[in-house]
Amino acid sequence: MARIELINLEKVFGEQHAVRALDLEIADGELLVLLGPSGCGKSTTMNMIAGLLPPTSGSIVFGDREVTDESPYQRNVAMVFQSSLLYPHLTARQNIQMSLKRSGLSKSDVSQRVTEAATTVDVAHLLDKMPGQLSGGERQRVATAKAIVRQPACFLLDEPLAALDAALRMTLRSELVNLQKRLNTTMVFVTHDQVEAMTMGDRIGVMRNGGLEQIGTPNDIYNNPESLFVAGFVGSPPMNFFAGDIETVDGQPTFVNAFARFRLADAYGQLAPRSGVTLTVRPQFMRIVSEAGEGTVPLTVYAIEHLGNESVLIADAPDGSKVRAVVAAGFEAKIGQALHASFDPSNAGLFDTKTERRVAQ
Amino acid sequence: MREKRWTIWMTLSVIVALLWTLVPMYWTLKYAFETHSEIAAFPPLIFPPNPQVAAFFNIFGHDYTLASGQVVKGSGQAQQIMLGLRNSLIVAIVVTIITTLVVVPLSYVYARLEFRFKTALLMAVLLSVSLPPVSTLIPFYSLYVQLDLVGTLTGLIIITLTITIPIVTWMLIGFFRNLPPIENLARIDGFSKAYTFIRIIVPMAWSGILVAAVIAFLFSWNEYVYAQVLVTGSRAVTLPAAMSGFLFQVPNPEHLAASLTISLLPPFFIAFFLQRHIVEMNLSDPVR
Repeated sequence: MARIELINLEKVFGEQHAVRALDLEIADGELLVLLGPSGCGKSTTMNMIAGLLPPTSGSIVFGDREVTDESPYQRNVAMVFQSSLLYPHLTARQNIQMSLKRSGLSKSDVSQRVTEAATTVDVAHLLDKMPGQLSGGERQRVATAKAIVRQPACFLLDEPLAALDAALRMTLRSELVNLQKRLNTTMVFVTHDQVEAMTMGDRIGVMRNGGLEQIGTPNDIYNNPESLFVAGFVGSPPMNFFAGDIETVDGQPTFVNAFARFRLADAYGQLAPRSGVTLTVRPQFMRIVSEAGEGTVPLTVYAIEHLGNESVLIADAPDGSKVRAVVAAGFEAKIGQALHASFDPSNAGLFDTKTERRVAQ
Repeated sequence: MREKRWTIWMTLSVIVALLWTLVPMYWTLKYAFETHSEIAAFPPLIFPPNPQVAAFFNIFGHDYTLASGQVVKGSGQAQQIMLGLRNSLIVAIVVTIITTLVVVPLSYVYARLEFRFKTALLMAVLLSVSLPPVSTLIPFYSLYVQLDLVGTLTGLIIITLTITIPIVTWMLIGFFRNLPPIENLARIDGFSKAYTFIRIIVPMAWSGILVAAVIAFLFSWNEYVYAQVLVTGSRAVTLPAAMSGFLFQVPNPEHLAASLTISLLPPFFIAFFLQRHIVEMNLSDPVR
């Protein structure tokens, strides 16, 4: 059980800055998800927390103890690796026992702990099988048992679900969260899947180019993205972007581009004119209308994806960018058909195109 | 249609490949079971008319009485053949053990650890793989004359190791590279590098290590060039060098064929008993 603190953590591989000036605090018992595209530094960060990689500079604190120079074993971390890595030549039971090999526990204690851990994740009946005989989901559960048997200070999970099929991923996702809450142990979970991050995390840290782009609760990240990157990375179907400028029209701040204009006063109050802004709108807030008018975008239908309970309309804006709108399940449109979409600007985000940061409200 | 034609070509090429390898082997085997005059017959006989095992007795120095009452005398080379068989086994087993002991840790270190001058040292291994063995023969010979190693098993073992170690290292590096990152798991469990290697990596990699041992054995068993120069005619003669004696004496094809057949047995048994493993020894997918 431990609070984890990363202070000004840096990792440099040759010329490449894998992690830069990372400050991060993970509360005791929290499930923090590190989310980002491949190469963003999330796995490097996790390996430094585990003690597998020495940081180039900065320090790592568990509770009140500085652990920067300690080995993974001394830190008492448990880690589940990509594709739930196990020792392939040992049975499930031996794999779990390996976690206790250096603990100095008596044989009967070890076997009791192994049985307990296996029962917790429901693999007690699989203990004598080899990893090669287990299904992906069973392997994941055995790897989890191997992690919890140590009663570690924290769990570190490096994309453990990435290689599994979608249905199984969904089951294991909730199992892992349930387990983490029951054991009340700090957990860091690395993934590139934003759905996994949204559904599992107490907080999500979005990483990009070795730095923390934004950290917050899933709701925070979804509703108040601080940068264009976060806005685009989180949410399904993905965010719509409109590039344009802010001008003063009839004495009111207005978003203007070649094919649309939206009045921003109600949502944003007074805004100084500026060029190079991006307006972001979630597809859920898009409404399809048949008539052009004030605050509409002309669209050409490109495709419709039926999801059963609703559909996603994908259309081309006049500048060639794709616009997505969530529409009712019965919605019909022909490909190539001209439509118009509108939305309430108070549901839109406003970002500086160059700095990618949110425009002050 | 296209698929069918492909199958025909595949079948044909398999047949050609089989004939290419099996016909000479059959011919050798046939000679071993024939008499002098049957071998000399023209047109050549496809099957030995009265197969008999005289040659196998002769090469070990025993006379053999044919069904016809004719006595076939034991070979004068018998001493050499028996010495060769013994020495070949000793050299092959010692070379296999030393090669395996050296190569397994060596290739593991090359494959999985980072250290200074790694690329340069790796190129050194590649260089010794690509060097034709004959090119080192003369320097080795003059060195051995001074060290008094000519005509000794020790000398032959050392020189054979200079071929087997680089080649088997090169093969195993690829094998170890493809292992999953199991060392990280071992570090989380608190194991030292040495423990991880001996108790986790080696048991995991046994199939690759078996391939390494088999290859070292076959290389050593088949080695002819060095043996011919260093040990022919000495007490340290090996089977390939001893057999070549039949070429230079009064030509005795059935004795040559019989000793060749015997020299084929160890590789044959290895292939036979390990065939399941050899198929499984897929070097690109080490963990099976």
